[in-house]
Amino acid sequence: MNKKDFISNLEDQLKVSSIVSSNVKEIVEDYKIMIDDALENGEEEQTVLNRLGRPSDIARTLSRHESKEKRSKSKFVALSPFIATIIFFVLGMYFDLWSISWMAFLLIPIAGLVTSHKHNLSILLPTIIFFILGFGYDLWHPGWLIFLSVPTLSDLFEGNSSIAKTIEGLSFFLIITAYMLIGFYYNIWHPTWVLFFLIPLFGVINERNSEKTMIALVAYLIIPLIYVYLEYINYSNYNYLIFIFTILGSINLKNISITLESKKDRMMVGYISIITILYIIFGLTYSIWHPTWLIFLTIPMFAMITFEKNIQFVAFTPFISVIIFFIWGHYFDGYHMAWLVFLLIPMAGILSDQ
Amino acid sequence: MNAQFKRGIVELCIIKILSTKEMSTYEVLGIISKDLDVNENTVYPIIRRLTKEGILDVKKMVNGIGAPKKYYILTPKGFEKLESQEDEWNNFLSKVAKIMEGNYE
Repeated sequence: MNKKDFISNLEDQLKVSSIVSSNVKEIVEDYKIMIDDALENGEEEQTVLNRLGRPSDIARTLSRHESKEKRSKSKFVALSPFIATIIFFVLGMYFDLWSISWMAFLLIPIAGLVTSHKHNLSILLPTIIFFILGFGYDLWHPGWLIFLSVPTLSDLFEGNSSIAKTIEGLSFFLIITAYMLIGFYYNIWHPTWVLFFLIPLFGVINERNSEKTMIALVAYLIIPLIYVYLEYINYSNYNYLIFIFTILGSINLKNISITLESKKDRMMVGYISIITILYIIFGLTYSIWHPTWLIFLTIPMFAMITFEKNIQFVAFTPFISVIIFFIWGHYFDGYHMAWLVFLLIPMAGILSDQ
Repeated sequence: MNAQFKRGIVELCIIKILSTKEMSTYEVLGIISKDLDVNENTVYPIIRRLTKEGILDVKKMVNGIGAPKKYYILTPKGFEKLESQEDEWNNFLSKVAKIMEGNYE
């Protein structure tokens, strides 16, 4: 990382911490000055940047005493695509109301209009595109998908969004659009849901940490691709097991390393051993390898409870979502609907401002 | 050392240093880091908070090209704070010294 990257990353992190934009500018300027002062005094750029550490830590420390942007209204706008998606699928799948269920997506521009007094371009633009698609090409459905871009456009036009947040927002919009188009036009809902693994992948890539990116590429791209291939060749007996590597990758991404030096480490190793033994016993005795493997998902949750202080609910949502997804899909034959629980992850993130 | 305790001590040092002459954050850091293990991330948030609280005043000086540099100096309110904190600190140190010397009975 060089000075330019550091400053840009710091600015992103300060914006993510919801610090008011005038203060963000001031802090960024001050850090530029401090770095320049150090360089003028003969220090190496890398030495200074190493001493300053991670921009995310700096933002976290500073945010304790800084004024925050009021976000309750923007939270409502940010949540609206997820709420609309859930309403849309519940009305369609369970009540067969596909003809009117798309209207749920009108909630997004309405949420934007109700909460915003300015920058209505983010609502106006998708609405114009929606009407052009509808009246011009009779594409009311799936033209409504354009409304999913409203929160990202809103942040973008207001200048509140960091590059990382914009990419994440756009990735959600593009992925859900691709998922729905493939689902509606080719009726391949499964295993197209694997596309949703790309969302955490984009998140990790934005952290600009090459080691984390490599792990994330394996956990969220290569493993899901292998899974899709195994589904394609109809080798579906144990292919859910490969997601164990995704779980292990996620643990690595959390930078949890086990050394057996402390009581907590020993507790961790004990827990992993118990889970593994239980899994093998259940598998051999009842031949229920799937979905028994889901108990492995309790390992990262146990690790977070054991090692991390002040842990928030949002950290558990990826694991809880996967557990609900497979139980709902496997026991209630609802894979086509169960993927909706993955929306819990960004929703919890928005509610907790992370 | 407890982080909050350390921040309190660093805050007192910053106030004392800036009571003598106006300095930039980097200059303040240069003095404190000779004796204490601190970096910009410890000093800067404290200076920023003290400025907001009116303990420090900031002067911007244009220095050739680039952004204007900021120099901080203690305000009258800051001198009052320094006086009370110095008293508190000396009082605290003498009591700790008394205990450490075994004079607590």
